[in-house]
Amino acid sequence: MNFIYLAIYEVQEFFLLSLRAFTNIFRKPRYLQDTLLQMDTIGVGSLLIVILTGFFTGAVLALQSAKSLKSFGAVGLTGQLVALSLIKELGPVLTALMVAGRNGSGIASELGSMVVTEQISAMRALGTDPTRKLVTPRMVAATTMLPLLTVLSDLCGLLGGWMVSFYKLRLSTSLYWSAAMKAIDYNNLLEGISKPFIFGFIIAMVGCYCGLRTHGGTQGVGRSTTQAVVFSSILVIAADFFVSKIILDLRY
Amino acid sequence: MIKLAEVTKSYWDQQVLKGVNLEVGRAETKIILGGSGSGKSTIIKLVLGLEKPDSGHIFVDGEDITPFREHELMHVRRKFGMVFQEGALFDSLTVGENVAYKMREEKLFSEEEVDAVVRRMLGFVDLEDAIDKMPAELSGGMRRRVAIARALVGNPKIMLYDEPTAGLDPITSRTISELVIKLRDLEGVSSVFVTHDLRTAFTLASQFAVVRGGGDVEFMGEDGKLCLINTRFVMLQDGKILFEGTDEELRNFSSSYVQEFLA
Repeated sequence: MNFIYLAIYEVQEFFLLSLRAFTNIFRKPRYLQDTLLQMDTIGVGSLLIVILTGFFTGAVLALQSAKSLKSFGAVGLTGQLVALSLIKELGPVLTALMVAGRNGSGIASELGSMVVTEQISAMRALGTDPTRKLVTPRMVAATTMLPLLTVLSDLCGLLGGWMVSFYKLRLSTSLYWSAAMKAIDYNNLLEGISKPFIFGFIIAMVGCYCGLRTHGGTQGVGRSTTQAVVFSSILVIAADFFVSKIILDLRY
Repeated sequence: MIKLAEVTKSYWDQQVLKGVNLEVGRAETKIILGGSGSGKSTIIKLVLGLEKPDSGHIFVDGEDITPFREHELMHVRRKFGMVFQEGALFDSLTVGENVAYKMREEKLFSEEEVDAVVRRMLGFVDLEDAIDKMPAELSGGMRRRVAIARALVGNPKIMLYDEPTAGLDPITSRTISELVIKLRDLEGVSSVFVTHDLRTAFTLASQFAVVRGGGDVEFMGEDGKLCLINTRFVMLQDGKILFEGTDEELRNFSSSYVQEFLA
């Protein structure tokens, strides 16, 4: 009973924090400087890992799918398969997981350290609302940067797929790209771009929430960091399922 | 200026404060003593509104702050300067930026005004040279002094100290107590001083500062003739106030807990 009570309490606190972080956008004071700094750490900082994961995901997709497609004599469709799975699923989800591991943990450990060294209390004592100065900038930065990173990751994945198709499968460049373009229509793009907004929000808010509820010294910071990565990864994948389901239901 | 009436507070299932009544007047210093976990720091956090009491009321300048929401508390907090345990400096900002934080946040002052205040405050704690250093480069004692400088910005009427001398050597502790005495006697600042460092506590209770001709500050002891009445001890035990009075009264108080604490 106590466990259920505690779980409901945590969910309630998480939603209250998210609500406050969101409504802060519409009221002064706003911390533009901090938001830009977070955009730099989340956006620019994650460029390399997102490019690399995107590239290799696309490459391995082409490699594996060509094998199955061959048995149907449809190797020419490799481009379409790579593009479709990248843009709708793998691009958004893998980028989100990478950012969750890199920035979700960073947010949780930074805020967690600030809690245990009483910097959060000091901030409140000096007249600043930490949800405005710390949470909202991270939320805005993650929700705006993740879609951009996802687009980049998709492009690198398509490039990786093309390299495998061209050099390994001996497909012509035009065949690969024309097949790929067929998969990139308005609906798929909308699905692929709308997901990272939600994932970015989840990563930032779970990171902030886990960080701010840290207790128990340095050990607590470690615990919060682990929790942030675990919870945000699970939530990203779960949210992916539900968003896909909703979009499919809406379309048909 | 501060008044706590029948305040209780518990964390989860542990009751930390069990009905505390306390009053701090103008230019008065209350030294709160007590063992670890006796609820000393909690009192300060409640006064600042960082935590809410479970029951009871807290008055600041006659205003009941208990029902206030976070944004309403902001103007109450402006009356306070708070020195946290270990200083709690923002480690991503330089010493100067830490001290300037409150003024920059209020966005009412020009950069020249901010700079002048920062230098004056750092001068008061004798750390002008550290202005561009990062908190991580400072020693524990220097960090506490910067924290005092940061708390002094905005000329607060009330200073709250949460174990500012914990873990410091006697000489550095002495520097910190002198700063506290100067603020009390020369600036007329009220304070709540939470500590379990008895040496510092008795220094605060038995010495006072006077300004000599030429602006030099001198510290003098009570030496048996005088008795400082603006500094009083409060002893907490298990979330209740066990004793309140001057240092002489505390030494003569017949309670095994107090005598064990002083021994």
